[in-house]
Amino acid sequence: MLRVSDVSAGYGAAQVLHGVSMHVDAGESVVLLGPNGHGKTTLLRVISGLVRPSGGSVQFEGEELVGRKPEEIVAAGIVHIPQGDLVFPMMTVRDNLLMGAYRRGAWKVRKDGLDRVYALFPRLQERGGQLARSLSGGERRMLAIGRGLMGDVRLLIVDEPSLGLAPQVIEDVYAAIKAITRDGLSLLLVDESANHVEGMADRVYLMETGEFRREGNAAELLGDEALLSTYLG
Amino acid sequence: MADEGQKPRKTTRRDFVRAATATGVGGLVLGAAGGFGAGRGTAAGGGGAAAGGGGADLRVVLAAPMTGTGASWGRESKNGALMAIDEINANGGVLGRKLKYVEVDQGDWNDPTNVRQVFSRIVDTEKPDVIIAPAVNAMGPDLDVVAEAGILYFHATTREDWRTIYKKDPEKYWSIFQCDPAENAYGQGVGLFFDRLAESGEWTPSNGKTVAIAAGADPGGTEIAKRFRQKATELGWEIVSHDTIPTGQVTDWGPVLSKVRRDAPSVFFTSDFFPPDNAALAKQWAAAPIPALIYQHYAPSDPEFKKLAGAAGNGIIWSTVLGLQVDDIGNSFRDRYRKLYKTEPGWSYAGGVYDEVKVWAHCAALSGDPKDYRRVAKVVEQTPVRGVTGVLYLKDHINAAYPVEQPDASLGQPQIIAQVKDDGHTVIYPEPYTNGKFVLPPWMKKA
Amino acid sequence: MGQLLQAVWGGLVFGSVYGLMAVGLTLIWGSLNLLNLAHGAIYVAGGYVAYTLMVSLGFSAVFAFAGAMLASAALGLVLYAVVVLPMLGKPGWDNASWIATVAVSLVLESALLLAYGPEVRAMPAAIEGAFVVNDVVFRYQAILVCAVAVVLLVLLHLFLKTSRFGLAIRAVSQQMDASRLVGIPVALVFLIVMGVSASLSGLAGAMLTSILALSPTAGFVPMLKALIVTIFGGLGSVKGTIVAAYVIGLLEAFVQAFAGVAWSLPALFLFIIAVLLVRPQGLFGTPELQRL
Repeated sequence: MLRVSDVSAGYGAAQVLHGVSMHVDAGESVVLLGPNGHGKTTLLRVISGLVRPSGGSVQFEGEELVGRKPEEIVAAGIVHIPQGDLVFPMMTVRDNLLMGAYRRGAWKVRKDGLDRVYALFPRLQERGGQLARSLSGGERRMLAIGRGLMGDVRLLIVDEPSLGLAPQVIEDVYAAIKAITRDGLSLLLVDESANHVEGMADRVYLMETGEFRREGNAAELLGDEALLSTYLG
Repeated sequence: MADEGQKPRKTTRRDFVRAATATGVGGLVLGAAGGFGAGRGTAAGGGGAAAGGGGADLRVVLAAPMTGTGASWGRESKNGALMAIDEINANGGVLGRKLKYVEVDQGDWNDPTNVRQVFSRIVDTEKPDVIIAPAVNAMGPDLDVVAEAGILYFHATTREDWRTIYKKDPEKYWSIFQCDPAENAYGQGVGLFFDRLAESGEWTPSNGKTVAIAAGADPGGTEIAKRFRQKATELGWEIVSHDTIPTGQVTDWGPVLSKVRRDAPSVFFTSDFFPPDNAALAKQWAAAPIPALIYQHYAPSDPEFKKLAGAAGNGIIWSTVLGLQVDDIGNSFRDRYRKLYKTEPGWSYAGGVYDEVKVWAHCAALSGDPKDYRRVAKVVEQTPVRGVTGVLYLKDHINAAYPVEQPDASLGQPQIIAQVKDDGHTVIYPEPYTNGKFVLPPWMKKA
Repeated sequence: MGQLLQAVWGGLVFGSVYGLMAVGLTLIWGSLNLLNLAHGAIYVAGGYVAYTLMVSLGFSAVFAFAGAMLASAALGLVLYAVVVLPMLGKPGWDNASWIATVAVSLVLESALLLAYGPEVRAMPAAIEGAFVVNDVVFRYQAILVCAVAVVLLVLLHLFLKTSRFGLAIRAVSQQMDASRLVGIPVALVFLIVMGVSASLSGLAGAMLTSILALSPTAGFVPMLKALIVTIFGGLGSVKGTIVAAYVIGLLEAFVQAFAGVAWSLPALFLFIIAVLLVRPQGLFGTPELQRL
């Protein structure tokens, strides 16, 4: 479904990715693990068109994505939920969600989208009329994810959903992601630790200094304590 | 240059004759003085190329706003200056020297820094024999730069300040002449006029001797309103309100007019000189008038006013201390101007700048040596010259207004008071410089 | 009574005018972080286009206003092409961008000077006439300006609050990356914002120059006042800008009616300095956030 081949990228003179390759199959949940600042987020930004790679190719269902605008990539069905709280702070929760349905097709059925998201995150419905900046950290993360689900998603990309959240809230967030993927949605998730991805990931990539060091079956890799501690500390 | 200068008038030889006759003494004296000067030059054994017939051109530098808010006045100044120069050159120049017109854009004449730069550039690079200017709103830097360079400078800035500046240091400012009266005259003259109008029975005030004042917030406007107020009070008028308005920015007269309507004075007086402001007043007044006479300071004389205000301007009274007269001399100037430029001259700067050039040329010729600026200045002080705007008598380096400052009409410029009508203006005061009578403005005529 | 009525009415007229001018500045500031100092020149250009259509070519006022809006929108797109496109996202955008708009403004004013000359022109009113209540003159043209401004400001507000594209404009102004990631075509949003903002300014110029005067530099003072309004409203907040426009308009009208016309501009400056001391983020602004 998604095939990343030999992608290199960086910001100015600083090269962050050194020829990485990976793939996500249809219906599969893939997790990228690795310490902070080693290129995971950059790879996601390359996929969603925010960063232009200096080399390599990204194909989605056989179509080349490199050189396409972010809105075209969204139209193809790839939704990227960025790290941190990239919500629209001065808009209501409801309007934030509606922006997730910006694509014309999704906009037509935005009511259904809202129902779907509210069913998944009842808290968002309660807070529907509040400004997004008044939400707690966990609520904001749910809002960002919910917004991603408003469109026609085929591949969901989530960047560090646990970042900066309280443990109980983290559980809620991961539970929600698991619930989403149960419907056969493909998932590409980035995380710093292996703590929360067990039982959710089909395959795992381990990333360090802009390269993939290991790739393999989730059960196998996540069971290897020694390996994990080498890469993730 | 001489050929080029004569080109526009090739068919109007008759006009020359008329012009020479009209400018009267001026034209004759120029010719005579030319002969005299040439003779003297020869007799002195060619006292340098400066004196005598022929020699290098005399450079007449016009410093006028050719761009910006004063551009229309700049254009009139240019027309007036060119006309004077061409006429003088056609008569043989000054003592055989041709006059050369040089134009420098004053740009923003309200900005002192800019004025200093412009005048510095003129004295540094333009080699002027005389500088002429319509007015310099940010007066001061121009005076200092020119005084330091010791170059003859004729302006018509209409400022009492100049009298003070000159009196304090006549030795420093010997080369500078203000070719019109100061703004002081305005207020007094207008006060006197309205009082005469009421007293003579020509007009019956709707609400006794009452007046509302809106003073323009510029040095001239403030002074004029102050003097008007003094004179009016002295003559027994009641000032029902005295507002200050930002000259050049009054596009909405609503707040002022609502007070005027409330107080219902017999006269509404404003000293904002900016034509668009005044045109806006005329239009807003016309939308819902009350039976009061309107006096507007100077602005209605500007052709721009007519274009902007249209018929709404009719009946408004204005005045100028620098006015193109409606007598033979002034009307002959109008005819020549119209032929040359296919447009009507305004009331002030076309004739005013024309007179500046003529006075200088006249006196330069009489002095015998246009390059001896000191001597030219002496002659200017001693010699009354009748121009198209009245008599210029610059003994004190500033002219006086008839009748309020100078009771002798042969030694000053008449302050004319006029009324706008459909096809122009009627000068209604002072006698004998009028060409018609006051009429009730359209908004006060009974249907 | 007359003075009070005069002040309130004057405030409504001024407020409407400032609102039309200032929302454009705010939209552009909010979404592009661009201080568009060509706004005043576009205002004047709108005036000249309307003048040409109405006076020189004899079209009706409605047509003239529509023409002014279209032409100004086109100028907005030109501004986009020569300022935004080559500079956005490059280092130094914050300063380079507004300086570039000053350059555009100078070019535009000079072009108008060449084409129309320096004279002040009188733009005829779309509707002549007036009525008087309590010594206060209500000109039909001023009523028209008020009505059009109120309708447009309300429409703009609703557009930004409820429509898909309006929400997208606000989204872009608040979080550009997130906007890209939900599929909002950011470049198109910028283009539309420039066009809408310029066309509002051009319409203001077309309507106002019949009340005020038309000359190549006539846009400066309205733009200055619009800037004051924008700052007071909290740079970037449309709702704040609209409220601020009427507050400033009323303030100015009250100062004119009760203290004298000459005091209005000094009073405005004093007021805005005081506001900035007490509440630097303006009326509806929030510190450190982009907002629309």
